[in-house]
Amino acid sequence: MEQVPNTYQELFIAYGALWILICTYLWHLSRKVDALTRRDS
Amino acid sequence: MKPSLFKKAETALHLLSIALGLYALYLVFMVVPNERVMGPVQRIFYFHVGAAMATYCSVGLIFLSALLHFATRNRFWDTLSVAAAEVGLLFCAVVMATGMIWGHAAWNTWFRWEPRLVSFLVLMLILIGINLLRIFGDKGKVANHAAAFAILAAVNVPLVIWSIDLLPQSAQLHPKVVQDQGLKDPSFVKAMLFGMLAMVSLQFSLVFVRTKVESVLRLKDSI
Repeated sequence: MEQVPNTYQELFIAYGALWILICTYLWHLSRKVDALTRRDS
Repeated sequence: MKPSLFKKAETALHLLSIALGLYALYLVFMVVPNERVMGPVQRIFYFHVGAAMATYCSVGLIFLSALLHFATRNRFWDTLSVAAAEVGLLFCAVVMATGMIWGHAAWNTWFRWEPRLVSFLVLMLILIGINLLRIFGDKGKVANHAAAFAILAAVNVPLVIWSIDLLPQSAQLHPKVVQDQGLKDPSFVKAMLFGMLAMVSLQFSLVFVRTKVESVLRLKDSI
C-alpha cells in the first residue's frame, strides 16, 4: 500500500513565500498611496 | 485617530497578517495529521473555511457601511463599501474554487444544487451585481443603489449559514463539520482557528489598502 506523507515541507515553504509576497506587496502599495497623497496635498 | 497612531495600527495589521498566515500554513502543512477518510486533500478545508469567514466579514462591512451611508450620507462609508464589496467578491471566489476542488476530490462532483452551495452562489452573484453596479451604474445614484444591494447581501448570509439544516445530512454532500463536532483531533481545531484569523486579517488589510486607493481616486476626480 502506498504510504501518504503526513507533513508537506515544500508546500509550506512555497505557500509561505507566496503569503509573505502578497502581504508585503500590499504593505508596499499602501505606503505608495500614502506617498502619493502627501505629494498631492 | 492621530495620523501616527493610524499608521502604527496599519503596520501592526500588515505584520499580524504575515505572522498569522505563516503560523496557519505551518499548522496546516506541518502539524495536522491526514484526515482518516479524505486524506491529504482535506487540508484545503482550512483555506476554504477561512475564506468563507473573510467573505462574511466583508459582507458585514458593506452592510454596516450601507446603514451608515443611509444614516449620515458621509462619502467615507460609500468608499469603504466599494473596497469591502471587491474584497468580499475575491474571497467568495476563493470559497467557491476551493469548495469545488474539495468536492471533486472527495465526492467526484464539482457542484450540486443543494441549499448550502446554491445560497452561497446567490451571495456570490449579489456581490458580482454590486461590483458591476459600481462600473455601469448611474454615477449620481450608484451609492444608494449599492447600499440597498449590500443590505440584500447581508440578508443572504444567515440563509447561507442555516441552509445546511434545510435538508437531512444524508441528502446533501456539504458536511456539518463544526455543528457536529466533526473535528476530532485538537490540532484540526487549532489549524481551522488560525486559518480563519489569517484570512480575516488579510481581508482587513486588503479592505484598508483598497479604501485608501479609492479615497485617492475620488479626490483626484473631484479636483
